[in-house]
Amino acid sequence: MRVPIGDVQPGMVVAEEIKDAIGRVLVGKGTEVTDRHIRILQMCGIELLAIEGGAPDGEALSPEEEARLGATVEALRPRFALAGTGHPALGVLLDALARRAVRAGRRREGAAHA
Amino acid sequence: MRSAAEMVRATTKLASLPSIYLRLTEVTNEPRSTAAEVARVISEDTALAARLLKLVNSSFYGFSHRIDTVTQAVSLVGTQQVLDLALASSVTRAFAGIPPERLDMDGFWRHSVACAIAARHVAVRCRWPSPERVFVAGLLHDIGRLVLYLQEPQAMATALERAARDGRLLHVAEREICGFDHADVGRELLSAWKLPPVLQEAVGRHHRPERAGSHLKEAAAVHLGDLVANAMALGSSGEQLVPPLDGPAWAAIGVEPAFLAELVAEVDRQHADVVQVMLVYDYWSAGEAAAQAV
Repeated sequence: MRVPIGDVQPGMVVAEEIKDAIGRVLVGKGTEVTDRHIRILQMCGIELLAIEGGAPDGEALSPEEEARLGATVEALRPRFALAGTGHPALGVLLDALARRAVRAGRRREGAAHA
Repeated sequence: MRSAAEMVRATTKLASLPSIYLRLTEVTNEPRSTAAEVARVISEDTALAARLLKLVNSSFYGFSHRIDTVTQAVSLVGTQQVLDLALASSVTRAFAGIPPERLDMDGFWRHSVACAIAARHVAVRCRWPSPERVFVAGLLHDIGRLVLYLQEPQAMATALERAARDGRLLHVAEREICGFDHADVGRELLSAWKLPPVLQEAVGRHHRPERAGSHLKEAAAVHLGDLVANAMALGSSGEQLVPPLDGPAWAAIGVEPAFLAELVAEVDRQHADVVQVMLVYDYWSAGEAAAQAV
């Protein structure tokens, strides 16, 4: 998972080494990130850091939400009438949009209950 | 129907780049200019300085500490990058005073910003040297449509109707009616403004990146950015459908399909911040300029 440098927290583990413009390694794969690493990476203009592990909590869908995903995909499909979803990247895009729509629905429900 | 060049000539009489951008270009082209000198020019325009500081302190960069001075911002971000961001902010101002009647300007810029963030993220992820340049290209990708809405509102209305009626892409309908599309007009405008060829090509070829020659990558990033922005339906410049993914563009970017999910997340993360900083809610009114000066 790639994380914007501003969201990197000390203790996260680097999944891919980062080099500067002339090829010096700034942080190696497997390094546990410290505040000092974060400062150095920012000074070098690094914007994203590959971190071990999957999507952060809150991004994942509950089993009920997963079940709703199919209908959401179908609702979004007309937008892809010309693009199609045959290309694997567009399949990923449609899936990401459906998950995004389901999460937005969850936030709306949360706001309605509050 | 007038030619694209004629429409652009009529438009540049109304919309020109502010002198601050031209002065900034001069000082950044000076090989020995320092961050402090660039910062001094930016500070002459208090509103530009305020925007730049807002942007470097937003999710766009995500620095963990606060950046308080323009000099700090210039040295952290780089002079060429600051010039590109100044250009982005200048162009939104150039059109602020002349909103076309039939166009939702807010939706137009929201779409443009979404495309710009996505295109820039492609450049960041692929470690291309100038992400901010790609950002500007994304922000300007549909600028030709502003010219069309301004100069030929009737032709645009017909194009919008036809695209909706036949379920076709708007740029195809434009081409059918005008003989050229908004990408051609945008390229013409950027050329009239004497902006760098990479921007002209990335904007002018975003529907046909394989024609962008040595600027294929930049055009491809804008192409993908436009596709994602349309798919996410964050604002609109008139297009209602997701355009097909261009094969050569996808190959030029060279990422795995899973990257598209990351792109959607990244646009969502930055969009509100960048919209707020870059444009839209202040149309650069005299009132704001006066308020800034106090």
